[in-house]
Amino acid sequence: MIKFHLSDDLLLSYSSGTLDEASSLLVATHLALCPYCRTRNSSADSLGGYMLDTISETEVSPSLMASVIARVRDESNNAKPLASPTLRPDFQIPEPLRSYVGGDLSDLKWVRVAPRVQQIMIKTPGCASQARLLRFQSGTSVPEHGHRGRELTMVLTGSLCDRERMLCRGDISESDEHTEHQPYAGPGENCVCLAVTDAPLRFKSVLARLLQPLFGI
Amino acid sequence: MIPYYTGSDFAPSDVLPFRRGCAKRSNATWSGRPWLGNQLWQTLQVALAGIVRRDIENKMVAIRRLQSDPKAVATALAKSIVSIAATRDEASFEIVFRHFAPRLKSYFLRRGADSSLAEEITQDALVLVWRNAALYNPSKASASTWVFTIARNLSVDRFRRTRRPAFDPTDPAFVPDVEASPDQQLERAEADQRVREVMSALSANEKSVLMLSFYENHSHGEIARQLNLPVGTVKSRIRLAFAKIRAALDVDKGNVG
Repeated sequence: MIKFHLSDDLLLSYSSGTLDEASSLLVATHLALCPYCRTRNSSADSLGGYMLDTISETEVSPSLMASVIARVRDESNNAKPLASPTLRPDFQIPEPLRSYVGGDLSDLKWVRVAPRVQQIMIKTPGCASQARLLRFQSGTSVPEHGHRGRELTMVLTGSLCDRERMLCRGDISESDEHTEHQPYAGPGENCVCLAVTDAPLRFKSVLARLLQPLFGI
Repeated sequence: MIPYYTGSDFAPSDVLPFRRGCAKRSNATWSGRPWLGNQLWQTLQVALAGIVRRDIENKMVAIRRLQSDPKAVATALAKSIVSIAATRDEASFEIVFRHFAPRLKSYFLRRGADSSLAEEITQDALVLVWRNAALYNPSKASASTWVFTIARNLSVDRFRRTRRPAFDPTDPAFVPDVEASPDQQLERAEADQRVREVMSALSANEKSVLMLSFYENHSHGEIARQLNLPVGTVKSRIRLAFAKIRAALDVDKGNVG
């Protein structure tokens, strides 16, 4: 049961198409797991519909209708209704994230960044934000840090304890310039989470700061 | 396909300026059909003209209602998209086109296109409306909301030149909705309309923040600068508006949050 959901302004940016690709990836992956936020996302899309209805009109050229018809008249109806879900073993990483990282959890090639911490950088060309998968062994804590921008985290497996909250699969944590925290992986299963940052973190310890450029965190 | 009648004094060219090239049959050049009695042929022609005329008249009534009654607009547009999918009916498409083309162009202009690019993307959007009409489900979203999502995806693609990741309901890892009861589905069909009612009731200040998010290629930080407001205020207005929408959607379900 997901307890920590997407914020309204994140949903609005996603729905309006102004959110960057890396953050949109996190939003869309959460939506795949969370029927509640999908309903809220539909409401945000309805706002877009309202916007389109109430926007002023701009005259279009008189030949536009004919141009559209000319492009579609001789086509057969090629849009297919959505296929029903295929019966296959459950993946732990839902789409669209699975395509971005190139497979499910068992297929991934992790890169060690610190003792008991591994990561996979996710490519979103031309995007100012960086998305990555992080894997913490249970009990491992991230050195205490603050932020220069926004950090979005979503848990995929295991649990993450962050600011007195226990985040499980699908849960979202949003941090900004005013947040300082020291999240740690809960007991049991390794914690895998998707993290998106739009600026480097600000670590408190000197050692972590020295190592920071090495791993691009 | 329903023949589209364009050649008489009653075809209202002020409402339908996009005439297709079906030339009016002139009585002077008509030579009759030898295998049909002249009388019978003429009766058939009159009957056919009557059917076409009634079809156009019905559609024009729908269009005229568009101006005054938003609910009738929504219904007429939804029906038209369904009928594009079912019969590839160009007259229905014309209704959709007349409503959305000028609005889509405004939208793409506000997203940063110049006039000719805006027109080009408007054309692409309307081609997608036609091609994807079969995917439109009127019980899930209004026509405007559906067309908006097409336009939004195009604008991410064309202006931001990136992909817009979206969830895939056919993915095995996708967590489906809890099976909705028939009246919950009804609720969903109406939710879209209720969101609009909430929007109409918001103050101009509250509305501006939401609308700017859709109009421009801007983050909330940039909107804050544009409106000369702290980012916190922009975000709290968004939260407030969403809280009102949630309240409006939850009223009849009797559950909160």
